[in-house]
Amino acid sequence: MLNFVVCRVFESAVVVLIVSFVIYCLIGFMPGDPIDLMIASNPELTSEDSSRLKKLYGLDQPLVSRYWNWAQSALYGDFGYSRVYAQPVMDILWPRMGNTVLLMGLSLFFALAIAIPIGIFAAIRPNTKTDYLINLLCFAGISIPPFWLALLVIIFFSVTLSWFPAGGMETVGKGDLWDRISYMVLPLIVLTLHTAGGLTRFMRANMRQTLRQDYIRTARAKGANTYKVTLNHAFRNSMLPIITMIGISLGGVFSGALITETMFSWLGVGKTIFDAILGNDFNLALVGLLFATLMTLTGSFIADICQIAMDPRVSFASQDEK
Amino acid sequence: MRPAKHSINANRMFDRVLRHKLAAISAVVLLGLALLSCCAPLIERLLGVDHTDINLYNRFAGPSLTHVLGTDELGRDLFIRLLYGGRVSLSIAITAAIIASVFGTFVGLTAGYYGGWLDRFLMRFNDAFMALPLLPLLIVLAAIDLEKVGVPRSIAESDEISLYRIIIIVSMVSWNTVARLVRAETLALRESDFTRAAQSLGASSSTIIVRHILPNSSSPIIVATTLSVGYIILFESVLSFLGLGVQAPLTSWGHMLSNAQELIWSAPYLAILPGLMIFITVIACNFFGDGLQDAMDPRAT
Repeated sequence: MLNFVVCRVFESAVVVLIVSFVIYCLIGFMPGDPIDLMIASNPELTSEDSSRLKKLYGLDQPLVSRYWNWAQSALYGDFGYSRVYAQPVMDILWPRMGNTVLLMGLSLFFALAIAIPIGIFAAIRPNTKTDYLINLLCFAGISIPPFWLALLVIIFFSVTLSWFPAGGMETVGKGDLWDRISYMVLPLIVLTLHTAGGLTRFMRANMRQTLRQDYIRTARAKGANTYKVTLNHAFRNSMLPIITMIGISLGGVFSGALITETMFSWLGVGKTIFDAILGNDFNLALVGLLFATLMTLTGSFIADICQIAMDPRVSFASQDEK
Repeated sequence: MRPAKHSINANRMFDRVLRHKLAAISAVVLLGLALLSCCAPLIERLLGVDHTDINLYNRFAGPSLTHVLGTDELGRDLFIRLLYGGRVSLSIAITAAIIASVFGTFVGLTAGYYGGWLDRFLMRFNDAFMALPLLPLLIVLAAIDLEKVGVPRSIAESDEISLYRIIIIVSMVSWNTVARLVRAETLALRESDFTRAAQSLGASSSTIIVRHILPNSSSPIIVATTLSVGYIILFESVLSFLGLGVQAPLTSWGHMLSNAQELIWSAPYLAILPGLMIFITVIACNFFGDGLQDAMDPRAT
């Protein structure tokens, strides 16, 4: 167990290192640089000032050595300042991270609450009309562009019915629990539907595979009824792959969260990254992207550990072979 | 035996028909959309409208004989713009899907056939890739300055550059499903008798891969490519919607929605129609791919 955990931590660290380097270079390739932006906002700066400033901030050095300097100070917890907010990036990202985790966590919870029962329901009556209808709806959930779903939801619930606000976090000056919940309903609906289709299909396929196992046939032969077999024997065994699936799909859920947050002006990490990229806030974009990567990698790491802890059949040695 | 058996058979037939019917309908829908998009200039000529014509006196017009679906916020004909948008969306999706599956097939064949550390490295890379939050990375890729990575100015400032850029970006993130499926197939085929026979006859690795393994793993390649067309349309539409994909004067379905959020109060149908086209195309690709999978590989599902 310990061996496996150490291996995975090492592997994730390598991934983070590579990703951080790639992101650093990509951000470096974005149009303009911080000094150009300073010059644009202050006409008194001469070209000598600009080269002096470039030297001061190390912008005249090649990308690799700039990355090295940045990575060193990042390791000591210094992630620098945001250009637009003039605050340390961590002060901006921490509270927004809470909002994103809340949105993603709740939608995953609701998506599972839809996917597990419906997936099982479809799996125990394969190839019936109900099964097809569920399959159809799942495909619809997978195929619908999330930003368009958000538009439809806004048109229907905010413009036509005006039940819920079309975007934001809370009404200014109100901000009690109910008010906040009403702002959360629409983003949650969009992200949940975006996630649920794939999970339901996975749950169904997985449950059908479990129901074909020998021990299910044995339980049947001993006279257990469908519900007992499904709930006592098959259900528990088909829950394990779902954990892996959640781990894998976290990156996709984060991408969905970025769109949802942007559509509903939900102050989360996804929207922050998007705004930072568009607003040339290089440092905030860089650290935000790293944050998002760390979040999804940690999530899939936890999922792997859970799977191993819960499933006695998975030996740590065989995990390396996979 | 009671009629139970009969009902199972009837059910199975119903199943086949319905499943393949959905796939067949999807194929027809996709072909129809492709045909309509191809003929967009012709239809434009027939209706006597121009997809770039701006007419501010005729904004938000309802459907009429010349403007079949009415006009948008600048008075342009919505129907023709949808067709031109489809041209761009579909050609991006098909080109990117082909590039991605060629690359994915190459990776899958190499990893599966040679095995060992190369396989482990490629598959680890694939796993790590899948866990990443791809959309923000795509947004950064779409935002980079091409001149800074050494693309000459004349190319970096041409009209079509947004098209090439988005094709490259989306194909970079769509190869991994193909790679995984081809690798699995190659692993099985590598141990098969005909591979052994070819090896013992002295065929080189590259000959075996190209002549024996590649043709036999064509069905997962075809299925995964079909499915990835749908995902690529989604990716492209999200990026274009966010203003980072296709740029004017070109337009795609996602691009047509880029200022839809401001129009939901005044003209909600402008926000609904292009999205509906994306939805129909993507769901048709998914159904068609699923049907192909059923038809080609009865072991799955």
